[in-house]
Amino acid sequence: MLEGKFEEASLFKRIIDSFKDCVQLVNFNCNEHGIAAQAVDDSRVLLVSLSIGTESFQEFRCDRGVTLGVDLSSLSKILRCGNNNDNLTLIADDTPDSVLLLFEDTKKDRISEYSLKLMDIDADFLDIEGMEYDTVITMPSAEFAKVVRDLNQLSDSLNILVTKDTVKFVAEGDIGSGSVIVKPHTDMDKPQESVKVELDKPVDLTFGSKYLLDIIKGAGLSDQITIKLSAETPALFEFSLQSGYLQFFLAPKFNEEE
Amino acid sequence: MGVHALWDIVGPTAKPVRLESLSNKRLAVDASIWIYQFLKAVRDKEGNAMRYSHVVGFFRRICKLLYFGIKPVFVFDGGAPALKRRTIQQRKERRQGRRDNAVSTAKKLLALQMQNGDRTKNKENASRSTSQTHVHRQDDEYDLPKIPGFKYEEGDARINADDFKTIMENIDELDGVDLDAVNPASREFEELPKSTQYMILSALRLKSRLRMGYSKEQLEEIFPDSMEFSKFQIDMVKRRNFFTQKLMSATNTHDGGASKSDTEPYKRVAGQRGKEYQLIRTENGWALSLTGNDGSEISKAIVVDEPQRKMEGESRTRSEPQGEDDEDEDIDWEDVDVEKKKSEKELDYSIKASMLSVKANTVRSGGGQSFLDRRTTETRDKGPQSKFVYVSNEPELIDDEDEDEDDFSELTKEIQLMEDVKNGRGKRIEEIQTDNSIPQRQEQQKAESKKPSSSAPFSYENEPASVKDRIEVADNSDEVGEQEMITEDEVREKSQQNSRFGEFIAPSYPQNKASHDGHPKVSSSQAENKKSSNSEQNLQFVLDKINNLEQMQDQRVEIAPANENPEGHNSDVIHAHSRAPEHDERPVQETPAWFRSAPDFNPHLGTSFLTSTTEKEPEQTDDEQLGLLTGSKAAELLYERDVLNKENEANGDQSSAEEDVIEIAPPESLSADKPSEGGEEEEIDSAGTQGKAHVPVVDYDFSEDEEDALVHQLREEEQDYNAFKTSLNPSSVNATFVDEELHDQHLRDKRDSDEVTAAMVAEVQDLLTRFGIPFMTAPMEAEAQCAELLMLGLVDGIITDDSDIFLFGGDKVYKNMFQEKNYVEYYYSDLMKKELGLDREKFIELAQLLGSDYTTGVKSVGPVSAMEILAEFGNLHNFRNWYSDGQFNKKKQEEEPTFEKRLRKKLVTSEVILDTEFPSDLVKEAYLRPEVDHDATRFTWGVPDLDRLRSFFQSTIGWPQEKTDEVMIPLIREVNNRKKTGIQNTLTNFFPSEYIKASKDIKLGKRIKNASGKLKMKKQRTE
Repeated sequence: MLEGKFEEASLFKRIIDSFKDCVQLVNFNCNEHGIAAQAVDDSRVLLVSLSIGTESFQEFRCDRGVTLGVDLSSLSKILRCGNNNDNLTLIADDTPDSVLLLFEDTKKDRISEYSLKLMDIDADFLDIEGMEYDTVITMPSAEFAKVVRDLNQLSDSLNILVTKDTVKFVAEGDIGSGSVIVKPHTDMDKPQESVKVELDKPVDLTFGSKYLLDIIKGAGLSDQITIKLSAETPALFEFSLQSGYLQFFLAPKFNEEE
Repeated sequence: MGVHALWDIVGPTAKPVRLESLSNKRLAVDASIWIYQFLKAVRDKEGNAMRYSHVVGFFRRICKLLYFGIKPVFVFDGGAPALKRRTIQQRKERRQGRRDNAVSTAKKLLALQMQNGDRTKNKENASRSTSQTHVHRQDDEYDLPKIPGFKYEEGDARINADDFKTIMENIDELDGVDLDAVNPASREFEELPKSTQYMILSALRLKSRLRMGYSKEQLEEIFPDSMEFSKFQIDMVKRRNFFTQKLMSATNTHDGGASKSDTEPYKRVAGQRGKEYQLIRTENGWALSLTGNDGSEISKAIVVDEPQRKMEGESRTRSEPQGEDDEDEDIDWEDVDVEKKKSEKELDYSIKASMLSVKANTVRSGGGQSFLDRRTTETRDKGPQSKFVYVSNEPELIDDEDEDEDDFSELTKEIQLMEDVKNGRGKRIEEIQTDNSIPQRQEQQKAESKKPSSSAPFSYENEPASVKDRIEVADNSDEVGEQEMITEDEVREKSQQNSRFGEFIAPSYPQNKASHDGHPKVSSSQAENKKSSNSEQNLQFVLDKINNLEQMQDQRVEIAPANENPEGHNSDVIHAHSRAPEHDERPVQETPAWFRSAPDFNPHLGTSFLTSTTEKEPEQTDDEQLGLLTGSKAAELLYERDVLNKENEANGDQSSAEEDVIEIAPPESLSADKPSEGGEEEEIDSAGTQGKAHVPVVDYDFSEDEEDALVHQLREEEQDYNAFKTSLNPSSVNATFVDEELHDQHLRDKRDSDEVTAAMVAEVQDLLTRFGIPFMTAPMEAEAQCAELLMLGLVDGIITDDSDIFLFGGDKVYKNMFQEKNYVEYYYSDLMKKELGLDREKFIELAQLLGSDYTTGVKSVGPVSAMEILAEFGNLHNFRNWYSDGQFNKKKQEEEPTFEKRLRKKLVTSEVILDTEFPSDLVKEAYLRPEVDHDATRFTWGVPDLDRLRSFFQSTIGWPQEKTDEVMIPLIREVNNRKKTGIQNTLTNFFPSEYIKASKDIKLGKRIKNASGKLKMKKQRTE
């Protein structure tokens, strides 16, 4: 039996919206620790890992593990029906055929109830635990989003070069090239504006821009984005939640000659 | 291919995989199965294999693979292991059976189509073949020799009367329509739906073609007089022509071969302005054709010998400088037509009516002994021009003396009819001509086929021309009076009728005539009318009827005659000549009566000739000399004379008339022997070689002619039938006409009897080289090599649709790569082991039960029972032991559980015998240790060579550069781009991944699920 209540429906809505474009079918695994999900996109390049801790809920109860196979586009349709400020309660029994979404407008005493049919979803499960990274960058998510959007105009690949005290984003395309250099700094007044770079080894990685564009959709979830990089391994892009996280694992490109 | 129904078992374990995720994977491709697939699958609508389907198919698939960044390695079959060869042999035998089956299906289809009525195509072919033989001249060096007599096979449907009988019976009741009650010429008929019209017309047409379902014997009973039968046949021919016209208008498919050339592949070989020579692919190979002039229609007839035509054209233009023949490619016949029309215009009904008396005159005088006198007197009366007319007329008078009366009587009838109808005379004549055109054509064929010596044809072909020319001269001159016009017309009319009668001439006919000929033909037209035989009246009746029909559609008929007119007319003239000896001969054989009286005038004829020749001017000697030359030269010189020496024309033509007379006279005398011998000899002497030159002509017997015509006809029909077979295309016919199922069967059979050739493989390999894709030929089986490549780590997966791959130890198999747009079925051994409890060993055991390339399997065992057997008995040895042990042990059988009882019952009823060899170790070994190449050299991939690909497609499929570029340029750009920006890695390369099935159970059948459950249990226990 699952019963999870979000104080504001907008949170769940934003979470779903941030990755509904790169994956279609997701299994939400619910247990006493909260709701978790992992999904890989069709091309097996981008992996989404979601964890919503119990702290994110106003009320959360899940006695036994429940898997909710959900078509995200259907889910987001239903989520659009509720107002952002409504309370949202997810209800499912132990062996669910469908999940119940309950929107409550506390002020107006309006309750709207939606039921979403669940699916059996076959999926790859990747063991992503225990990765170690050479470099960790923390920067404002909005800034990262802007860099990605800007450089996407030039090329469909984005090169990230991290040296001792700079992070350099480079794009070289047919029409020209562009680069953005971000240097670590600490903003005392607004800590969320700070850029932090922890470097063990310099890193030079290239990523497909279209996947980065998918990732920055999660920028609305958090002010800060944490980027963990290691040479010739998938990068981790993480948005923190109040309790939990939304992680993207992105496989880098490599040159054939190598 | 592969293990029978194995895919059904493993199917549920398939995992859909996005093609994108295969990017940069090295995949081994089992290519031999591809060629096979293309060969089977890509068919034109007639079920024939497309010549380069495999090249195009490979091209498309390669493009798809490259587009998704897959690095393919193509593996081709090398040889077949002994085990497989045995199974292949069995397959081949089956295929052979299919082939026979295909033939029989084609036969069935043919019968069905015949029953449902011919199609326009068939008819067009018919007209093509006829027109081809038409234009074909004897002097063409490629002309085939005539074969005396003809043979037919036992089962020839055209000869077998019984078949016809049944067909006829079926035709009579066509969808409940009583064919006899239908009048296709009626207005009501026009209002019927086109499909119904077509149906009825084609049935009627077919009906007119057959012998009314009677056998030869029956026909002989019905028509004791073969003359009657000939008439009946002619009637049918005319009917058929009418129906054909109708049919064409009903289907609007008058373009004949044009539609055919669309569908049939052809290669252009050479061309010149206005002409295109094509190599058209036919059933038996390639045929050269002139575009447009593929001979499918009269107007498209292939002109075989241009020079001949030119010669005649010259002579024509000399006599009358007109350019009518410019647009009409149709040889030398239309010049007369032009003349004809001219004269037609000038002639009106009153003249026509007056012709009666003139005709009577000519007949009277012509038939008599004094015709020479008459000629001279008349020529004197009318001046030089009219002499020509008579000269041209006279041969016919002589030739067809016996027929004149009948012609005449018919003529009078026709004239009356004409006046009644008050139609344009031109139309009228055209109608007659259309009526005649077919018999005439046949006549002409006959005439041509009769020619034995090389010189004879010349004389035949040119003499008519000379006659023609003379007529033209007469026409051109202003002096020509009404009378001449009329006589000219008579000539034409008569010749037409002659040719029409040509068909009817049977021994009995001349005999009748001969009796009339016995007494001088001074009798009046009325008397002759009476004499006209019943058969003729019958014919007249038929003619009238058909004329009536045709009046309904004058407009249409007018178009058709435009083509046929010239032919008809020309053939008339030719015919008149070609027939001459025949006519002479027949009376000779059967009517001594005529010749009893003939002696009286024959010598006279001879002497008068002698005198006339002596009287002639020096020109005459020229003529004599010319007579020594070939007939054609003589004719040519005759024209020259006509033009050069107008004053001497009279003499010249008299001499040519003399020629004609001599031509005819010798045979008469020769065959008539004794009485007139002396006179004739004189003639021959005086005429010199002229007479001899024409003697061979007499050798032809009419019956032989008929035979020739029949052979011709049969050959034509053979062509029709062949065309039929190759172009069985149901879509063009009304759906009710073809049994779809039968057709499908035909297509299936055709497909199954095709095989992959080495040339195809070579072409594909050439293509791969140009794409820069590595390929290898396996020592034996391609699947085994693919599995080996995977095991060697040279590839990351295998693309195949052959389930053998699992038996060879293949894993990571991608199936149906090119069916869905973005997903591909992915099979891997872990999952199959986990879900089904099947590993390689079990797969091999399954193969022994189900049957594969190496083993025939156990009869009556399907995928489900095979799984059950494996689950129940653990392995095949136990299974065999159980089966053979319990075979004769009643007691044991009774103790068996239900499953075993049921299984035993099933096996026993299918007479399964499991000997000690049953789980064949040979088969197992063949799968476990196939002959493969263990070379571990890594493959390298090149880039597509655009230029070489362009030239490849240009030369093989004939694709223009643009078509190749259309696909290749974006593809190469994509490939280059990928290279430049680096290749996208996938996460699965970094993280260990596990495939999670949402539902714990995959969708298996209940029994298979149980069986696989047991298998899994057993496996766990052993581990």
